[in-house]
Amino acid sequence: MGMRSGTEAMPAIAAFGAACKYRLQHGAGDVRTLAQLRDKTVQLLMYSSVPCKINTAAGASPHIVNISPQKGRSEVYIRALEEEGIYVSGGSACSRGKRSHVLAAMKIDMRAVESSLRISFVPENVETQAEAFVKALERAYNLF
Amino acid sequence: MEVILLKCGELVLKGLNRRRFEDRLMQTVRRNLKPLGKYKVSSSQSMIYVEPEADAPVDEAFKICEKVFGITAIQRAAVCEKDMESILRLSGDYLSETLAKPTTFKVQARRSDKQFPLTSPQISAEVGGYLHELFPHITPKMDDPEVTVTVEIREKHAYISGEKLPGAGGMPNGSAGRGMLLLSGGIDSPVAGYMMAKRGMDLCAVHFHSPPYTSQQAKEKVLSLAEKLSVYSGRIAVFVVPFTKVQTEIRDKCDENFSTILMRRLMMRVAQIIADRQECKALVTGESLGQVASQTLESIVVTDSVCDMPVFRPLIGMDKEEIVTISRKIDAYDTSILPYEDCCTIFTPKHPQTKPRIDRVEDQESRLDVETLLAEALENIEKIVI
Repeated sequence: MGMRSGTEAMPAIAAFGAACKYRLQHGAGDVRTLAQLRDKTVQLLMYSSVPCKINTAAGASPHIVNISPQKGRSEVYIRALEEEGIYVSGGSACSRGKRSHVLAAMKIDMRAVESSLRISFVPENVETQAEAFVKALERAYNLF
Repeated sequence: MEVILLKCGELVLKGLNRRRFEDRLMQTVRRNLKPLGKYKVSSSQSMIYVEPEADAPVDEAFKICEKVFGITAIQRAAVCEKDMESILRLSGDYLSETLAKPTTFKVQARRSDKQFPLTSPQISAEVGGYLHELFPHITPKMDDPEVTVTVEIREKHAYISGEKLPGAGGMPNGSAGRGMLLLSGGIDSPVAGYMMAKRGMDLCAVHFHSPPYTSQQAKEKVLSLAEKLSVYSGRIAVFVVPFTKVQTEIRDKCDENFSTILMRRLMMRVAQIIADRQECKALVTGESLGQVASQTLESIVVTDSVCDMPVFRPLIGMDKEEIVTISRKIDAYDTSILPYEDCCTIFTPKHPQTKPRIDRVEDQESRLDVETLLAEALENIEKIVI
């Protein structure tokens, strides 16, 4: 019959429904804002003193960008940024705590995989925050 | 009433030292059982008797005794009055579960009280016959039976036991001097510590951490590993050494490909100095031949050359799989694999030297002010007793 028994996560489903409803109302504007923010961040990174690769392809979802600074390790960057009140993630979403098999499959070399950072945006973020992030990253880069 | 019997291992071979080893062993058993309740621990003829007082638990005590080094076999025994009626009755009751599945058994009797009316063979025969009647599915077999029932007649009581389980083996804690374990957060070093503790070595541990490169969690992970190890080894004093300056100096002044080996040489030097202060006569590391670049034969030779004291590498001939098996056994594996950066992973070179030559290593090392680096590191050690 193509069915299996199980208990669905009802509260999570309801919450997701409510979130979708909210976002639909504010939807189109958000995508534009996020894309702008993301592009601005990438631009700032290109002009910063941190040599890094942008792993995210063009045309990808506007709310995330994945980068690999030339030197260093994700965990150390994450903690250094945390100290300044900036919270980013490492690797890819599907590999918490381990080397990302997704990035590895993208043929990104080992060292880039180990330094990779994942920055996620929400529409409430502003440009000054992107600037602060890049400055903090520059400081953290000096550790290596 | 149930007691636990611990059969002493190799130490029975130690002649005049036997008393001392046995005493040390009993001391360890007493200390380890203390948090559980009150137990009377005594010994006689290479057997240690653990008798719970009041309602001290037997199951938990058994689990603790299974981890004490110096013991080859461990069994539970029921105690009763020294008359055949009590013995028979108790054996039937106590062993009903043990004898439910097996098909062959034999009874072995021993009596230290020579006044007891029956001889050992007679006791075996009577108990054997009684049990066979009670459990008809089980037949006596002299060679290699599935279960050996032991009946022991001592001064005041009779002891009846069924299953004998292997003990932890090894030699009693503290019977083999003291060593300094280089404890990283990995899978190997805790296993190396376990194997030396098994031979009776007391352990101190040294750990190198490099904030802000390494995290507080990495340090706590190491302390947690020391705790797991201490279940087997007894108390461990962990010395945490700040290593940031050393690592950044190496990064700034030396060829990247030598960084790992230079770091290891400095670690061994620091470990040795602390070991001396703590009256440890040997270092212990988790190195296994050929696992990583710094553990090739050439690298080990170069690392060893800074040591004046023996370096024990109990894992040197072991495969990773074998090491992982032990790591799981001592309940360290799940902690060891927690993914926090430690100082060995922070600055890994792209092309590490796998066959370093001592002259080139020394040349690189001469770019560092080793004496000052050592002094600074040693000044700020943190000591934590687990």
